[in-house]
Formats: sequence, C-alpha cells, structure tokens
Amino acid sequence: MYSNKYDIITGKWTNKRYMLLKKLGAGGIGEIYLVQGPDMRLYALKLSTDMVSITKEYKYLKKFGDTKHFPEVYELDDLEKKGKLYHFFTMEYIQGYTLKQAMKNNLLSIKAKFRIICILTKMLKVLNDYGYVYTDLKYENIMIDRRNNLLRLVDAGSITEIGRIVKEFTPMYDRASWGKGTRIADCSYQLFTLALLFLSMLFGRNLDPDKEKIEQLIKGLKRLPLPHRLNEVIKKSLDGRLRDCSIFYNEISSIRVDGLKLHAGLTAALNAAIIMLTVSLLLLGTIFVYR
Amino acid sequence: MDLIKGSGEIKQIIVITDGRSNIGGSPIEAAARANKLGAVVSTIAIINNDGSGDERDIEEVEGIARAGCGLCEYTHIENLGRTMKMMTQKTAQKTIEQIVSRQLKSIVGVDMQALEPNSRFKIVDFIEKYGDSINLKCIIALDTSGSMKNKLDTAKKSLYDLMESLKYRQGKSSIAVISYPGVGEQACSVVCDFTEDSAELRERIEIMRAGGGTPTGPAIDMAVRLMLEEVGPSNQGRLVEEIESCYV
Repeated sequence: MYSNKYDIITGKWTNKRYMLLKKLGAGGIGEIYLVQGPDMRLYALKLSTDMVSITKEYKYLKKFGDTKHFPEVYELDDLEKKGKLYHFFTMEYIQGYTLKQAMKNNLLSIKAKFRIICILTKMLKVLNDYGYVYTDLKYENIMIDRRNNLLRLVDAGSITEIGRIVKEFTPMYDRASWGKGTRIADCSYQLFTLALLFLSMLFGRNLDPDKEKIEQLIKGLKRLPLPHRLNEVIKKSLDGRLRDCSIFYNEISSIRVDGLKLHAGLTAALNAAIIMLTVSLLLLGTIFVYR
Repeated sequence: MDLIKGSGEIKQIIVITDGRSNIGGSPIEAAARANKLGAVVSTIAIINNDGSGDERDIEEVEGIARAGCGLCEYTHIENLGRTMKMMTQKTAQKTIEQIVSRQLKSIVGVDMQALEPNSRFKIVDFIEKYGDSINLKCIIALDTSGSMKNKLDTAKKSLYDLMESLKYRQGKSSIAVISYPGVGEQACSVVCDFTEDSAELRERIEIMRAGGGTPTGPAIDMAVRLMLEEVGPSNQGRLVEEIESCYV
C-alpha cells in the first residue's frame, strides 16, 4: 500500500491535487486508487515506482482512447513522497463489474457468453489492425461498463507491438505455457488467448496448463451440447491455424445458439446492454441468495 | 571498476532461497562485493505455505538485493517461473534505465526524472527496445537445502521455462546455474555453466538433490568468480587487482 485514505496526491508537474478515496486494486506494476480530482470528479489513478511501465501504458491508453475500448486517460505526472519518486496517471473511473465477477457461480447463459466473445473479438481486431496485440487478456481485465453499456479493457500494460516478445501474460491464456507455440506477439497469439478465455467461460472454470492438455480441453468441448462448428473454430485457433480475428468473429457470430443467430445485426452496444441486464439480474439474484 | 559490466552485456545474479543462510560468510557482504565488481544481485524469496520463516529471513533477502543493487521479490513456489522471467527482464530494463539516465545527464545535464513526463515517451521506447536486444548473462543460485525437498522439481521446471522464454529475445541470453549446497560435499557447485540451450540446461540441472544447510554467501562468491572467468585473458592482470581489492 503506497497511500492511505484521504491522503492527498499532488502532481509534481501540474500541481493538481487528488484526494484518495479507496484502493481499487493492485497489479504487477502498481496500485490503482479511486480519487477525487480538483474538479470534484472521480478518477482512477494508477501509481507505481516503475517509470517505464507507467509511461508506456499512458501512451497506449492515449493512442487507443478514441476507440472507447479502454478507459480515457488524462494526466501523466510524478509524485514525490518521503524522498521517493512515484509516477502516476489519471484515467476515467469505470463503474461496473469485471468479467470475473460476472462469471462467479457460472450463471451467464450460453448466449451471453457467445456475445461477450464476439464483442471482445471485434475490440481486439481493431488493436491487431493497428499492429498491436493485447497479450494479457483475462477475466480481471475485462469490465462491463454499467453506465455506458460497453465492454471495456481496463489494463493497457500488456499491449505489445506485433513481432515483439510477450512480457505480460497469465499462464492460463498463454500459448507457450500450453506448449503450443512461441511467446511472440502476433495475431495467432491473440486468437489463442481468446479461444482459451472462451473455453474457460464455456466450462465455467479456470484451466491449468500445468495439469491439463489442450487435447483434453478439445475433447471436453465436444462433450458440451454445442454446435459442431464451434469445435472446429476453437481447434483451429488453438493450433495456430487461424491468423485473423475477423475470421474467428465471422465463424463465432454465425453460429446459432438456442435458435438465435448471434450476428443478426446487433450493435456492440446493444449486445452489451443485453449482457448487462443479464449480469445485473444475476448479481441481484446472488445477493438475495446470500441474504 | 565495472569490469563485469564493461563488456556490453547485462550480467545479473539471482539468488533463490526459502530460508536464511547458516553456513559460510555473510551473503549481504558477498552481494556488496559482487556489485563492486559490476554485477547486479537480486533475490527471490520463496514463501513457505506453512507460514514458517520470520523477520530475519526477510531482512536477509532484502539486504542482499540492496547491497547488490538488485530487486527483491516474494513468491509461492508455483509462481517461481513467472517471477524469474519478470525479474530478468526488469533487471535488464532497470540497468539500461540507469545507463541512459547517466548518458542523458552527461549530455543535457538533467536526470531523466527531471524531464517533464510527456517528454519521456521516446526515451522509454528506447529503453524498452534496447532492453530486448542487449545480451544477457544470468547466473541463478538456487537454494537446494533440505527445506527445498518438495519444491525442487517445480524449481527445475521453472529454470527450464526461463531459458525457453528468454530464447525469443532479440539479444543473446545465457544462463548458468549454481546449487547451494553443492554436489557431494561441496558448499556449492556450478551444476550448469553458461548455456543458451534449454535442452542442455534441463539435462544438467537434473543432478540437483535437496538436502543440507544453506551456504548463501559462498554461493554468491562462486557466482562472481564464474562471471569473472568470462572476462578473457587480456583483462586477467586487472582482474587479479580487482579481486584482491575486493576480497583481501
């Protein structure tokens, strides 16, 4: 913990003052706080001693800010505290749930899961087209933005130029950990992370590259009551035979689940709205159950 | 000075332990000597699941990293591989950060930290790219004392994983492994000399068995000697002086 409640974080360069309200989370490189800015608005503030990581993440958030797929960023600044130098940036405070929370108890419908994957594929495709890969795709980094009815990726630290070595990853989604290829950022690496996330959602549990094999997962998928076409797409993505998110999207979105064709011209926002509704109802449901 | 660093490579020693040293000299002093010769010494402390270990263990691992100008991380054995990968990359990047900062100071007269944040983008890009392409030499000193018995297999696998992931770097990366206690009656031994071949590494580290005390200090000294052997005959004379000034 770098700071305590009601501490004031004063930017060394902008002199802007942020009052710390609570800690939102901690990642590999730093900690994220909910703060109140000088304009009384709420912000999320990421604080770390690692200048390279903070600067890099800020740069990418700025670059992809227009896509709305990431939180909007505002200030990049330093904090001097007890003779030590910290680096931070402020970004949009997203209210909602992470996919991890939404997946708790595995109550999302198959349709909702398909929709989430479809939207994510579209988002990642945009990034791939710019020449980048989002290597640390995982439940915790995907948020359902309650106010804007959008899916958002909340951590940009793992964005890597195509062709470079993958530095940030989680073994569960990492093809090298599964012995299925290199740890170099390319479009098939991206599809592997997506396929693993999808599998994990369909199975409703975490998958472990130390204890399981890809072949077992594919067998497990065949046992689920899902269209055969899905197995093929997933298999191809895990083998590295698919190299473009748009192919994956076209395949997944044209699969009929419960009689409803997912494609159906639904916009991403509308899709997200439906997911939102399902998730809200589910979360509400869980709260009542726990009471 | 900087005899080790001088050859255009990043040389680091990573000490992995699950307890406190109890044989040989102080590991903190050994780390300070290593750093004086230009090597960065970092530590990874394995957290025991049964909650054993105390304040003094923490003081020691942090002390070694401080004296060796490296990093100190705590991890459960399951995440050792990941922690090692992160640490080798971070250390490389940090070393380059220091070099770049020093260069910048000598050219423009200011620290990187004294630059306005929005003018750091290009420098940060450079540090990242350079960190990927510079050659890396890494010695892992692995605690193989009795308490490591149930963790040694995972540790071996993590070493292999590290080599596997480093081979995709643009620069050359080689790893050597020292086990402490060593093979037979030795306080520590080089079980694998510098290699870039993960199959060779896997084969050589198989020999390691857990048992005995924890001679952390002697292991760091041995790592430094291994680094220095790599310097080459032209520097031998200076080398002897350096070592004498540090050790005598």
